[in-house]
Amino acid sequence: MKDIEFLKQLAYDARLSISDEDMPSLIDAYKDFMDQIQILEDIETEGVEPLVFPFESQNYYLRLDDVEDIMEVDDVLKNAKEVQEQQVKVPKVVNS
Amino acid sequence: MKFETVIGIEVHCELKTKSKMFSSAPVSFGKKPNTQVHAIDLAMPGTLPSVNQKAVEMAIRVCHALHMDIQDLLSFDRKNYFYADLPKGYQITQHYHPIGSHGYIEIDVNQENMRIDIERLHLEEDTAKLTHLSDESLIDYNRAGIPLIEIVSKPQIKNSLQACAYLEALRYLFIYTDVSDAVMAQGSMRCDINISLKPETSQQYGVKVEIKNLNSLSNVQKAIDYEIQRQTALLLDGKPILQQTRRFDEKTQTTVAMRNKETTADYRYYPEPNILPIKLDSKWIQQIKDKLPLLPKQRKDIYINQYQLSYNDARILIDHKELSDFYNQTVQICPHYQLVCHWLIGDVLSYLNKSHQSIHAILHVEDFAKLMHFVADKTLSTKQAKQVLELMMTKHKDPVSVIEEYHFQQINDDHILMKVIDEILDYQPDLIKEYSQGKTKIVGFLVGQVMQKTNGQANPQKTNQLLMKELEKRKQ
Amino acid sequence: MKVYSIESLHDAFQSGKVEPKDYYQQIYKEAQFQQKRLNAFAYTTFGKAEKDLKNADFQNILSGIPYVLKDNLCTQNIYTTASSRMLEDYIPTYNAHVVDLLERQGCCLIGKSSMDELGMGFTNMTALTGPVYNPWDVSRIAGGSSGGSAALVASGLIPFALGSDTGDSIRRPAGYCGVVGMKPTWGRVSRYGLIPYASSLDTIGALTRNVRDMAIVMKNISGHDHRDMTSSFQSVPRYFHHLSLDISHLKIAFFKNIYDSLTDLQMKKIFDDMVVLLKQQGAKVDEIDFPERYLKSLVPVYNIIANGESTSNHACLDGIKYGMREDEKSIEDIVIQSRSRGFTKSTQQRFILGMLVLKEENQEKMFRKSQKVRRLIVEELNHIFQHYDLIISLNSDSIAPHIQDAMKKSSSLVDAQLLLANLAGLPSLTLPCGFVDDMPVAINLTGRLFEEQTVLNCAYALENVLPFKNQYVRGDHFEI
Repeated sequence: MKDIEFLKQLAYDARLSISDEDMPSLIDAYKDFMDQIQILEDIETEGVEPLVFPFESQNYYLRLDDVEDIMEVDDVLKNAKEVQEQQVKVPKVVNS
Repeated sequence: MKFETVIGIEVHCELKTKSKMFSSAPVSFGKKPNTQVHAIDLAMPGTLPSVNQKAVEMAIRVCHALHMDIQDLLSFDRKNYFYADLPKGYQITQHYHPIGSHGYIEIDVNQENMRIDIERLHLEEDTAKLTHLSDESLIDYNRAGIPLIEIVSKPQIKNSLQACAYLEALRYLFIYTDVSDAVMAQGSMRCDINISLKPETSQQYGVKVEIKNLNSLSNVQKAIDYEIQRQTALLLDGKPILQQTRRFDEKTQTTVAMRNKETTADYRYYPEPNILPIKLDSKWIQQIKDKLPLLPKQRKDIYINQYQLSYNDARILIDHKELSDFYNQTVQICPHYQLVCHWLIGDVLSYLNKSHQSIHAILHVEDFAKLMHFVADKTLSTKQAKQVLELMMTKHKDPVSVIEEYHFQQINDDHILMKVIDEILDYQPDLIKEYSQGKTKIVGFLVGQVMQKTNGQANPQKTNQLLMKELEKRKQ
Repeated sequence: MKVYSIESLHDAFQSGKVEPKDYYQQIYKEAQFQQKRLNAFAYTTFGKAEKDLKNADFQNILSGIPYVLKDNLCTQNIYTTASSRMLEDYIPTYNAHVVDLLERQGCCLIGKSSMDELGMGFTNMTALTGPVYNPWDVSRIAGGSSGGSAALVASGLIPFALGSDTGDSIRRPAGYCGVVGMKPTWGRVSRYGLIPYASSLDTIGALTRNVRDMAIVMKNISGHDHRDMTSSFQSVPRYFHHLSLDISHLKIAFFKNIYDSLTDLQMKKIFDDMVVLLKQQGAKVDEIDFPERYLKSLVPVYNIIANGESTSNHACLDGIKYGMREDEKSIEDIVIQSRSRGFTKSTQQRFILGMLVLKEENQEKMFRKSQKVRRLIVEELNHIFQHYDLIISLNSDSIAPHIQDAMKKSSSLVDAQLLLANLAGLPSLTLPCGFVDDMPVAINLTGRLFEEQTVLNCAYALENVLPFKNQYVRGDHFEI
């Protein structure tokens, strides 16, 4: 039960809603995943820095501040489902 | 019980780069919706961010101006949250390693210097703009991706006066380092105020309230004053202060709760995997520092201590960066510090205000310096100089040609002046009589007559001397 | 339809032996036949191919050569769905960098190929357009997630296809379908325009029917791109010109514990034969140990990183500015319902578990922990590469499973080894090397960072002494 509430909150964090019907398979996946995480606990990582990229690498390049590749408005909006006044339309966003 | 107010301020400033933080779409304002957009700004699947060099340079400029330690390995992180104005579902920011840390700024509170420590400065990107209609909201992505710097102060500010002075000082810093127009009303400079109260005797901070939606300095002041009053009243009543985000309401001139913050939001920050850390060249960082213009505080010190300007005169110059720059250039050539200052903040500034023009459009430094020389060595009278200046500004001419064209040259030649004086005195013997009877006042009247005859070109001092001499001579 | 490699088709076009227009007509017909048999296309783009063909001058080696793109590579004005309902009607406004490069070479795009949703999977069973069938036996899977690309190359329809590889997504289907599949070093090929799975693991690569063609395609899609800030500045060797059959100087390692885990004797025999062949050509082949605890941690580390990165990579898919949008009263409900209906259940689970590992209170013991173990694994590999040029292993411990068994197969140590190349960003190539039960079996070769050439050369030498070069299966006998 605690797991279910927890997983529902996580699903919400990912902006997903999990039906009761799909919950058992999610719980299985979660348990399997937690077992996998458990495996890592046995590995000593004291003093080890996380590796964010596949290998340590640095860049020296920064993009020059030039304007190019501006989209046509039609292209900006062509994949949007609702458009009004050249803007993407959504139900009113209330401050949260 | 007495309470102490603790205020920390987060300032966001939009950088005036040509292109956006992570895309090559233009940064511009007041354009038609969704015309300043790159696929990257729209978070089109498959797009990747590409860091704008100029934005980094501008951030470094401000870091230098704030005396900060600069992180030379530039890295970015993701701040994850869903919101309609956030196309990617995360904002690229610098959470773990801000480009600048441990800085300070000197501010001026009622002519007293005060130092505010600054915790961090980091680069990030702006969100899209939402326009709320009655039932729907419209999204314009023009703003999405505009580079921002965020500056977080230490909680060292104690009242609204200091807060405003701090914001004002930052605003000038942005303008002087040429990174932003920093107009609060237009949102190119924004601030969030964190404010808490604690009993004077207590070491522990009180509950923090965040105030948003502050679009002017006067609102900052009102919001803080109101908040201090509100929180004091609650504390005296023994009521709890809720950890909240509030906003300033223009209508009621109060702060109103937007949401309670029982739990702090989890943004799941983690390093941006699409941008390798970028090693900044230390020479480049130094060059940016070397090219930094004189900053407001430095200028103020020079103006007051070295040039002996009054505090107020110095303030007026500094309030107008263009004018201050122009002043600095002029006094390099013509080191009459006070004279140049008075002319600039007087006639020149009022003309600029009237005509809404930039000083560089109407005056050249060399020309203005020349005019100041003429004033200083009395080649021109003040009155003449004013007229010359006006003609210089309206006709865009140099002072020498104005003087020639409009016969403004002062007459210093004794010979010529004596001719005029003789002419006047020859026809008015009564005046000499009056003079010999002790009515010395008539000298002024006579000088005026000489000026009239010479179309104002006569050197008044000289005329005065010659007149006295002549009158004494004729008296006998 | 006669089947050609890139090289032979180029020669045929140039010498006038084959009339391009006629040949493309045959391709279109064959494509329809193969689509019925394999279900490997997400779309065909014959109109685009016609346009591309008009621009082809047949001078460059790739000019006029037909190919397909995995459907997660963005194509301007052509549907790109990444096999997700969420993007079912999505039309990109720009080309992926690799697409621009191939267009410039005169390649002719005949279709977008099927894949697992967003590249997440190794079966190609979760594709929006349904499973892809293995050309060698349509009752079996092609593997994924670049299953469509692998199946179409294996069918002989096209000499090459592009895919993407986050864990094994090019190499697994290549192995199951009996073609050559390669992922380059991370950073070698610009990812601009690749709808991601997990950024620090994703690479774009290719599938071909021989190593020479692979060298050609790899060279043409590699190189620095300023739009990808992880793109390498290292110069790209002319792989094709530097191909060499001489591998006598190479030192090659394989992991004893992985070899010992092989239970299928036929598989084991094939691998033994490969070791013999390599030794016969003068290479030194050693059996070495890879720490067991690291082998066991490959799948967890991979899953944690991939889920963590992907949950935020795909937060942009919210139904607001593009993609599927469910009609709801509030914006939050639009986002939740669109995503809940737009993604398959297994993808949703990955996102949810991604949210779990990124949770601030969990990061230290989950996300960052996995990044730390990633470092340890990479360091261990670096250590091995100080002494060896290549690491080899079987591509899988089994042949392509039957469709009904596909989802049941759990990851073996052999399978997991493919993840090494993604965790460490290494170039890795899969080469057909045998048959078991009439299904192809493959060997995998993984080399040092940016040493694609060594990997290609070793594969070239091996291919040269094996009878599987240019193999394909049109499936005339399996006509439906």
